[in-house]
Amino acid sequence: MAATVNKKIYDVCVIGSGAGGAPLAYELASRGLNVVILERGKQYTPKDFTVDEFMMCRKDMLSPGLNEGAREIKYGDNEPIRCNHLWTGTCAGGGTVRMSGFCLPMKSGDFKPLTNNGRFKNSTYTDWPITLDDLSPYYEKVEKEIGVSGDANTTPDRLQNNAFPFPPLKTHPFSKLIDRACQELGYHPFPIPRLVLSKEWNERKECGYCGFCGSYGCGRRAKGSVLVTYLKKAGELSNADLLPEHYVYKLKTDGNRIVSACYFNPEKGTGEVKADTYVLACSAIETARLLLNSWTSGHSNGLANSSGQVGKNLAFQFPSEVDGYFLASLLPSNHLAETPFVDRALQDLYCLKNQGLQYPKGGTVIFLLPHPNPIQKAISLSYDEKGNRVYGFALKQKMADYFQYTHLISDTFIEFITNPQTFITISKRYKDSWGIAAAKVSIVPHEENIKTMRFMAQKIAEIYKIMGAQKAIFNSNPFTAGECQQGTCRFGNDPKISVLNSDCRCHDVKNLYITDSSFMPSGISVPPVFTIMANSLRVADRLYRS
Amino acid sequence: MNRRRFLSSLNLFLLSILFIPKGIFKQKLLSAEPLIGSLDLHSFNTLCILAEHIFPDDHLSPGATSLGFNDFLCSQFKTTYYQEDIPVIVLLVRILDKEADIQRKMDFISCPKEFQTQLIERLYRSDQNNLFRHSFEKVIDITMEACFSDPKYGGNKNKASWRIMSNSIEEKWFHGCDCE
Repeated sequence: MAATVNKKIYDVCVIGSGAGGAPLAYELASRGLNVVILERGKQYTPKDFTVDEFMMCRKDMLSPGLNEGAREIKYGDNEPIRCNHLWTGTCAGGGTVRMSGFCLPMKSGDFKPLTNNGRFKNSTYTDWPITLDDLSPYYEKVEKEIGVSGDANTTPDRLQNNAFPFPPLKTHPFSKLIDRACQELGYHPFPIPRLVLSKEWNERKECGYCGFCGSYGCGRRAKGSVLVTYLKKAGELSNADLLPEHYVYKLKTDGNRIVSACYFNPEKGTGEVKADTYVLACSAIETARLLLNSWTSGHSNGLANSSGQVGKNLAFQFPSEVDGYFLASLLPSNHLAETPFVDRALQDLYCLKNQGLQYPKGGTVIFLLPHPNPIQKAISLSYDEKGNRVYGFALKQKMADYFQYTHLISDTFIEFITNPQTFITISKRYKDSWGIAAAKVSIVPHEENIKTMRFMAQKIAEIYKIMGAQKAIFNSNPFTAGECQQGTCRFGNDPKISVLNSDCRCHDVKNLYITDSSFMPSGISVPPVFTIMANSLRVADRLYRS
Repeated sequence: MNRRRFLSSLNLFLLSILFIPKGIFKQKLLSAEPLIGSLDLHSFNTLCILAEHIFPDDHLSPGATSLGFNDFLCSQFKTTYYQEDIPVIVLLVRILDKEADIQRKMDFISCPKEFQTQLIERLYRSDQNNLFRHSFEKVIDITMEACFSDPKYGGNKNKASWRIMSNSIEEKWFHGCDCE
């Protein structure tokens, strides 16, 4: 089928409608620019979201199936496998549709990992070319525009003395046990701010406390995904077009500038969209994949890759999950409370100087009740400690033993040490169902990250012990948590070692910006979504002025 | 003349049915047109037997069969979700049938249950059978999906498997959740 070329030439073409694309798209459209958003996935409404794990988490509603989303992934020393892992969210709203909505800003020291920690062996991180002061006004803007619920009195390093837009969400009685145990150890736990409404606002209902935040869309619009915030507002503007099911597979250039974005669409077939400026926000892996697949004779190493850094410096949320087992009989009588949110965070383990670790950076610990995913829980229980499967009566007994306890788990954001062995490139073996070469991902955790992971796990287990846990099991797999992927097109002032400048504008291709998490030149120790959205608004400002 | 020929042919046909070994006749029927997507009936039946080994019936909960594993397969194997798994399942069935034939001169599903249990365990634990291992682990995942998904997909009848997980928090799954 011949390619369709849209006749309209937009001011800005945004590729990807998640945390990095939607805020910028709305901001520019609200200032009068003609904006088009090309989104690979479908556009759902909140009515489409249910608590059906099979549909929402196992099938291809929010992330692509094996054919459409094929990737070649090499975990550590294992043989590469063909799978559809590490997708954030393939729908309008991207990963924000599925996020838990934890909302914490970076700290000032996070912007200078190289200056503060030095060049660590086998690492590639660099300092950020911006500071917390550059990002702070935009953190504040996101808070107000999306609606954040939190407690200003207890949140560390609160950027301003003003209260959060909404009071904190109700929390489970477990949180009081955590508070007492942490205080006994000299820690300072606090209710984690959430991108979830504790009160009705702007045609969005207050949280219904169903507990199906992480991995599910929110039918009440209480969770502040960009689908129900920035994209909704952009949809009300006549100069913003959201085109779902437009999978951009290549960017065409005239040598110096991008001239069109080529897409597949199930109805139209192939097509092209033209704009003056292009913004990539497809997620760290897919943005790098698109650039590498857009190679030409003039950009033989991939588009925008004269530095050789596209695809490199990939980072993830580094986990340290500890599962605390509590006999129900020993818990407070009101532990059967309706609210599923524990929502306790700890940043006393954020910096780990003088703790006997070579890399002195820990991260944020968040305590929560297990995600209500019965299939995933059943599958995880069918593994033993050595990775073999348990089945039959042994499996059923294991389930019965497990569920006689109530469980508390820790979700930890440890700064991933970017290294030369963790990167993405293009697979020579596999293609997706449209015939486009798949991403090939290599993940090798840095040995110091693994030490930090174990150190944090010990500290978390100490908290559980004081709380009265019967046992604490270390559950972490250093290869998990691909949702919070970062890096691959880092920004910096030196074009030889970065892809973007401090405005997230490409050094090589002047009409290209990147605003998903690929811009980050180091891992971070907080959930990244808040920072991605804030940076997206910051870049919108810069782009508009340019 | 035509009537005589017809009756003669009919007699031959009826006689042939009597003398064709039952196994072959049964196998021809079983390997007839695909039943579920492109999964043949024999593989389907073997899969159901395997699921009962993986998630058996006991005092804690009904087993995979009672939970509706068959109905789940019927509904979901017509979709694209499991299409890439079908060759893996067929391979698994072939390995089991071959081993059963060597030892018992019959296919896997015809063997006694105790033999089936021992065979699965031996093949799974054996280092020589990475293919079996990978395939069987896929069947474990499918069984968990069938047994623990929402009952509207055919499995987990009466939400019975969620009762194992019924706990202060997990109660929510059992009672459902109104997200509106």
